[in-house]
Amino acid sequence: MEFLGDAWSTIIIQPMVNSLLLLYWVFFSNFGIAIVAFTMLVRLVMVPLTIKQSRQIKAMNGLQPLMKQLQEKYKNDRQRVSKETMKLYKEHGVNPLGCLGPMFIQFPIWIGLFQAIRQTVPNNPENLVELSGNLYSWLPQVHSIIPINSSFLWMDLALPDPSPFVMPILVGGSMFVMQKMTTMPSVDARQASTNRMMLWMMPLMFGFFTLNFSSGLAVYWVVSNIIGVAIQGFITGWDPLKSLLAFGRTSDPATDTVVVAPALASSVEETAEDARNSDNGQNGGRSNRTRAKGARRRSRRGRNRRR
Amino acid sequence: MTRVRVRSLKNANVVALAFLLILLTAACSRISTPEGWSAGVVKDDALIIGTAEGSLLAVDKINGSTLWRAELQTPEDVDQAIYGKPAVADDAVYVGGYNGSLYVFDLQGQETKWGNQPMGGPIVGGPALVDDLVIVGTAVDESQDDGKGAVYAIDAESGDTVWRFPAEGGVWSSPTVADGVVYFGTLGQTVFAVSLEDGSELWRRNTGGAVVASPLVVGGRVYVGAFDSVFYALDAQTGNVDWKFTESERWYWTQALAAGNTIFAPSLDGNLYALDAVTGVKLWAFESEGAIVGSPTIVSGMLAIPVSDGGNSKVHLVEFNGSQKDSCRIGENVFTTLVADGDLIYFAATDKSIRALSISGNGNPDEEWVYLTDKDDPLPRDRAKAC
Repeated sequence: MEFLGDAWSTIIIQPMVNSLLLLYWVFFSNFGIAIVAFTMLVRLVMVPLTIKQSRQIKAMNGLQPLMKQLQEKYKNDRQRVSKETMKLYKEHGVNPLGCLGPMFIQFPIWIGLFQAIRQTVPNNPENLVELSGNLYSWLPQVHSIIPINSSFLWMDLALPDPSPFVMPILVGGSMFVMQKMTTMPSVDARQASTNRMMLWMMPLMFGFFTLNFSSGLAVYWVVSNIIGVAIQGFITGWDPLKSLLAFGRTSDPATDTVVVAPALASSVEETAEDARNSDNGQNGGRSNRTRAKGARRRSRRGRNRRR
Repeated sequence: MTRVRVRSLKNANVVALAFLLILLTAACSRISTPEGWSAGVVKDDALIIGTAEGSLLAVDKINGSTLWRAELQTPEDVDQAIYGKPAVADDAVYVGGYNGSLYVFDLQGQETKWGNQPMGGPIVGGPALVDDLVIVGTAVDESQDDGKGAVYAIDAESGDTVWRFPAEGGVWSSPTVADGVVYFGTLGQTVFAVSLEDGSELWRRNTGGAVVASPLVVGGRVYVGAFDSVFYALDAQTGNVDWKFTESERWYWTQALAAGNTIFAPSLDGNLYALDAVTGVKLWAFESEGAIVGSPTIVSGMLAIPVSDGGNSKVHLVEFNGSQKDSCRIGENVFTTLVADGDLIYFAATDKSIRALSISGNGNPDEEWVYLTDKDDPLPRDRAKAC
């Protein structure tokens, strides 16, 4: 366990603490700006993952009509629906867990940042002693600025927001928009219910955390969410945000009634037919890739016919 | 199989949420509250020391039995802790609280004289007692417009403020008084010398880092280390730098120690540097794995050095030539300054224990008693000893 603690400190905490302090030194001894700059750096490093996540979400969006078709087609056979759904994912190169990757990667960053902020703006002598062990001796700038000034706007970034509701509302609100933008749509009632729960649970949970955590972490969350929303919007479009601004005039993508284009409908039928053939062993030699190509070809034919 | 997989995918978000909750809860539990690391002071048969619970405790210095315990009155929403060493007079003991109040108790643990005095900000360093004045520094001073720390001289009898010196930075350092001058360091990277009589500034010396260590004044020099990892020897009259020692890789946190012509500078890099008092030349260094947060002391003709290294924390016994004689593995961080009385040393550890070790002439440590401050009596003598 001690080894894990040392590894965590060396890999996560020390780079974060020293980066934050260096940014504080660069940005005119303003820790709020240092956190904003740090957040932007973190998001920059994670851009490839974020883009991948956004594309997965976009691909999932595109598959919703097909999945709806499958559900209707096999509405009395849940096992078949599951099987065909997986097949559909595979054929279109979609990995439902791919959307979660960046989220999981952010966990250690959140925890690390929480600890880094706590250490960087120590509110008691024990924290300051702990901080000394995490500073790079070859970086004299970070030693000369201790202890730092943790005031930013109306907050002491080492402590929870004194207002005390401004930052919780900002965190919760930005988290809600972020969730809205990144929620994977689903035609499955159970999944849609889970999505709805997540849509509200996450903002509420993070808003609650903000009441108790240092406001520096809240600043990180708000900025991170805003950047995340922007990236997501540029890649997958702003429809979820528009629907949010329309105050419910457009329905929730997680529970949308899906209108299926004829071409897609035929694609599903053929996919389902493929599946049946596959089950009967008639198509056993065809690779998934071949089937996917076939499905795309047929889909294109469908679109041409429609034109 | 496929169905199971799809179900697990559907539940992935829920799993992620639960995982997030667990991690954040774990992180939340690491929010630390100040616990303090008060050094003790021996007065007659008693060791008087602050506890992790924020009370002042007097125990029998020989067997560790409780003599009295005084609670520091504080509002419920204010963190209570004691970091500094209490200052003891013939009839009273003065102690600064992290809650921002200065307290006075009689030697039976009852509030006396003016009871307690709000000072406007947390008190980290211990008060210094000279003549009829209590000199104490504050980390911030919310009673003043600048909000920065200050040093106060308080009349010991009446509790009235005799003078106040705005320090332009937080004062965590315990003031040192010598020859009518008060010396202290600040988080604002400055060492000050002010007049004991009226609090007027005599000189100031900027360093490259915050100064939380209490200055050591001996032989006309002020010795103090800073967060720039430099140990300074300043002329006590002018504040000019006589010499600097720059080999440490980490900060200096605590007061140095003098013996003869040698200054022992304890560093958070785990080294105790033995330096020539006049030239600053390194004579030797005792190297340890952890950090030296509290000051060493001299006992039974050798140095006792507290080294904090988590479960591997020890008190080392070292000869004046730097060779180690023995050590006692405490197993908990020892942030406090060691206090010696006869062949005994006293200190607190972060497991809320107060400990007494006897050190024989050949350097063998023997644990005399352990008092857990959340219990009322010392642990039984037949327990397994640390050394």
